[in-house]
Amino acid sequence: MLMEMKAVSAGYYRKRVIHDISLSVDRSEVVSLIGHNGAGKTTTLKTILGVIKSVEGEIHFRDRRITGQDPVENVIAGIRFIPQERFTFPDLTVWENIMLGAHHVQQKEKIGKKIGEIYNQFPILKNRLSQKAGTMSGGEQRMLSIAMAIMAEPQFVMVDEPSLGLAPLIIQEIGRIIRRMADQDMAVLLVDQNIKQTLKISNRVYVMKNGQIVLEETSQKLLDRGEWWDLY
Amino acid sequence: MLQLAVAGIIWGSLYALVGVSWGLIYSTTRTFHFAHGLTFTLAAYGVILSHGFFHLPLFVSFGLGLLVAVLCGCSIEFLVYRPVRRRSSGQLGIFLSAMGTLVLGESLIQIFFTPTPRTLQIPDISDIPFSYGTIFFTMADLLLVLVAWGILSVLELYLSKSKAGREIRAVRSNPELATSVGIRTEKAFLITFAIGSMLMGLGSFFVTIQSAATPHMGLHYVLMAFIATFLGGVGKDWGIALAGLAMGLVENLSLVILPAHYKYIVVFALMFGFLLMKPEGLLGARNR
Amino acid sequence: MDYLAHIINMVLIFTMLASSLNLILGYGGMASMCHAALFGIGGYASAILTMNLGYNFLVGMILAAVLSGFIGVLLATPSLRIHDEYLILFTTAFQMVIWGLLVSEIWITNGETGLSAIPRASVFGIQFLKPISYLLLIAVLAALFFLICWKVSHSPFGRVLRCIREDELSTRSIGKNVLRFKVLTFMVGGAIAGGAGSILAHYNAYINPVSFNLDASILMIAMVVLGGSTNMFGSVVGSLLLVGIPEMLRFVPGTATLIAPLRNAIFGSLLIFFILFRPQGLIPEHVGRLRVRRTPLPKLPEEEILALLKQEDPAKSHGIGEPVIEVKGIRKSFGGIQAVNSFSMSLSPGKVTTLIGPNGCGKTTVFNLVSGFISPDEGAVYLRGKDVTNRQPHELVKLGLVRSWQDVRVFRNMSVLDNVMAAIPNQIGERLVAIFFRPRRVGREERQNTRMALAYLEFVGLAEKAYELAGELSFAEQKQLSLARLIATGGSILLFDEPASGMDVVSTKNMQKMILRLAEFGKTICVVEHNLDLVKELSDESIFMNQGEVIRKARPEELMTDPQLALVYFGG
Repeated sequence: MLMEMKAVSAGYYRKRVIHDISLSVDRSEVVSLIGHNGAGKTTTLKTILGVIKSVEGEIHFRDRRITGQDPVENVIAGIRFIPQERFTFPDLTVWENIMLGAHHVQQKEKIGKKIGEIYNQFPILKNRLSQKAGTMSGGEQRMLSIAMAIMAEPQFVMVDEPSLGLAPLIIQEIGRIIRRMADQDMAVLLVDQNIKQTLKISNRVYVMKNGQIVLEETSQKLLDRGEWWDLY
Repeated sequence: MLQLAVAGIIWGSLYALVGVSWGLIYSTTRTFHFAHGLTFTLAAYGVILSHGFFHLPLFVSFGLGLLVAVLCGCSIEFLVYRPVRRRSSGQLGIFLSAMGTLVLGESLIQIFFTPTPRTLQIPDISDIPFSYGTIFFTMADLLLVLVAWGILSVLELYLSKSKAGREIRAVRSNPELATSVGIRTEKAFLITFAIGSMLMGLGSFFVTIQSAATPHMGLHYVLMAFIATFLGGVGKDWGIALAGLAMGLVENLSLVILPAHYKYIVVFALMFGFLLMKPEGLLGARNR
Repeated sequence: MDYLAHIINMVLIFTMLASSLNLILGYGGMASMCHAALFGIGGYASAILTMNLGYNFLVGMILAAVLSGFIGVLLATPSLRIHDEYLILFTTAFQMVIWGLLVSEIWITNGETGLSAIPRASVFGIQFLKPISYLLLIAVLAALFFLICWKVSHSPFGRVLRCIREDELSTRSIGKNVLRFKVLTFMVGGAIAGGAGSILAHYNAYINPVSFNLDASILMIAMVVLGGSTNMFGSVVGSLLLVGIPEMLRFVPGTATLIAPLRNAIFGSLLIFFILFRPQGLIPEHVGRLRVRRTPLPKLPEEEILALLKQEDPAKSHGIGEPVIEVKGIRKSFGGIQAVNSFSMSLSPGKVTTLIGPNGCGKTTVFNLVSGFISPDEGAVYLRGKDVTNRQPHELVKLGLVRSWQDVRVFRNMSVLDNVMAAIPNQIGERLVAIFFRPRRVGREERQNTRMALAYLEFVGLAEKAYELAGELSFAEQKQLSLARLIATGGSILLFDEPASGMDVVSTKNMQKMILRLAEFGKTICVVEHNLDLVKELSDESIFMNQGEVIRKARPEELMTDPQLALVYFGG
């Protein structure tokens, strides 16, 4: 497993918001985390990233212990996080945002090659390079945020509620892009409230309720149920 | 009247410079860097000592002044603000520590150098006068205006074109996301303090070579810098520069109608009235 | 001997300044950079009045206090509209303007030369001339001013001030008119500063602008911070240190001319040191308060608790079943995005209505609109038939409508008990006049309110933690505390914003129990929730929202079997 969490409890100051969380994500799979608001999904992602300092338990990435490690170190090691809100640099242009995505990448040729790929995958962005990110629509900004994450060729990407506030067509497009990321050998941990779509593009699912994991299942099995009210 | 306008442009350019220098630090690090005044004062003493006392050439003093300014600003960030931020005492805590630093620094200067104003005693190129009819200004004044606007343009270029500049703007725009793309925020903060302090040192040089260095000189300029920043809009560098220019003009042109000793109060009274009327600032407050 | 008396006199005068600033800065959390300006206004006013109009010292002092107090009111009035960062700038600008005027208006103030030959104080014919004779007078006045500050800070008024410092939004949501408190605090603080200025003027028989500049304001702030803000005794310690130590330095040879900068250097470094290593100051907030109050808690009988909870609020004379809240067609857009579009609902006593829907559907905006924190673009909210659409939150609380916050917002640095007591309405201890002229009644009411607060804490199960700091509680306990605080307001219409978010199974069940009991007591309840188990257990009627609109209103079970709604909630 590329990333593993074992019995992790974490929270703000001394308060525990998530309890005894154990989950794992491997290369080429999309693992989704679903559950009601306030169940602790975002907290889980932030704990892996390293912004939440008050942590018990173990987190491993590429067989190395990263519990409590500085977020910037984790980013350099190959972890990326796309937040739920404020996921672009609104005052900077699309081009600058994309370049910032590859901020810690040193080799210029790698960046050049990656940009070409980004243009292919996200034609919308190619046409808006000099536009300020904050003036684009929500869907376009989301695309940008994903493009930024891919620029650095991360091994593990966490995406927090990418379909919030977006139209169904764009949600589907984003879903396709996320699936493609996994197909290109990345490990993806996805949090999203759009259950049907999420289950369609993911391999496995963890359900969180009240700060704990209550169910672990393959996506197909969960899809076959047809209704999920009791998970919330 | 024309002379007053010229004076207004000169002072306005200075205020634009110090305003942007403070505004850069504030918008990027959200630190109410009250001690920026100390940077100004220390740079001034650096220049006076090296040129007036040790008789080093003027351009060496210039460099020294800038160096002192940068060291001052960065040390304060490293030794005071960073630890205070880590203890999360909130904005009030940072502000109080900034005040403490300013007061401590200026008092130490007063103890070592006495309150007597220190001047450069030797007339030099800075005092070369220019006279056109009723208008009069010196070489130093001219250089100040040219350098101020020049350096502000260079700064804008740096911020928009260079990688480090982009880093700073990223931190300014969205500090949490900056961490998520691998930017070391603390390093970006230090760079910002260095740049801001250097600009302050620049302003200090041109003021000092024409007048004198006194222990409390920095206070006036840092207050002007605050006002320019809030009038112009946090994060809007050109807005701040224009606000600074406007302040210089108002301060001097007001002498047409108000007696001389009101000069310094005018800008504050303006700020006071302004905040009453439009608490969100001139160009709208930034939402964070 | 005279010299020692002089030092003590100066310490006493600065104690007045530090304690009055402590009210504003320490308790109220308002960064005032102009305390020295208020000090100066008082000093000059008193000097001028006594010198030119022949008034007696006491009259001069009182007038000076009144003037400074009035100016304090003027300063505070726009403060609600001014953001925190700007308040620092605002008060700094005021400080500089006043100082500038003191220096430049030579015709009144004599500029930098200062005013001399100010008449010495004479009270009832007794002339005070030497420092040692002044000692008694100043000590009495200092004690008086200190007592005023102490009484205000230890009263229910002071408690609300601390709430404002902790979380202004939360304070408004428990029904307090924050502006009134801020203005009154600036008034009292300013008045005492003015009085102190008068005392200084008549004591030294001389004043000049140097004593009232920005550095002086900063010195006063340092005294408050060093001594320990929100502890009045701390202000005494602060002024003792920052006036006493530099004065002692006079005895060190060769430092005579360096007193002023040395003092500044000392207080500058002390300020930095304390912020870094001991931000709570020398005497932390809770010493003296919690120790004294750790009297054993009375165990309240069940009947008393229930009686309190069932208490009808005075305006209520409503039939069961008739709607108490009617929301009609409210709409709100933010910058082009329609957040709420023609939303209507009615809430009745004894019923729990839940609002559910996907993220971003506008549920919290509806709450904000109904509870007065934002105003709708169109539509209206009726409370018992009265149009309350544009009322302020604290007015709505007085009418019985209260809300909780998704992110809890308890007053972290205050005790659990204080959190609840602050929310109790109609406390005469929040009126300044009552604090000074009806102390017995205030004391009696405090004791009654303590019992009430304990009853509410008992109801939510937090009674044993009454003296703990709210910030030390677990997240679930903080939610319980916010529930107790909500009930304490006496509100009959309760809006809960995600009461179970972030809570574990057991705590969620507890919350459910309490909300249901409140409904049994006849309260009108509306809950925004994502936890659908809870929604099913709680409500009779559920409103499903999407994109700012009501999609369907029905029993939760019906909603959850509706395929259309499943599509919306879970996506297609």
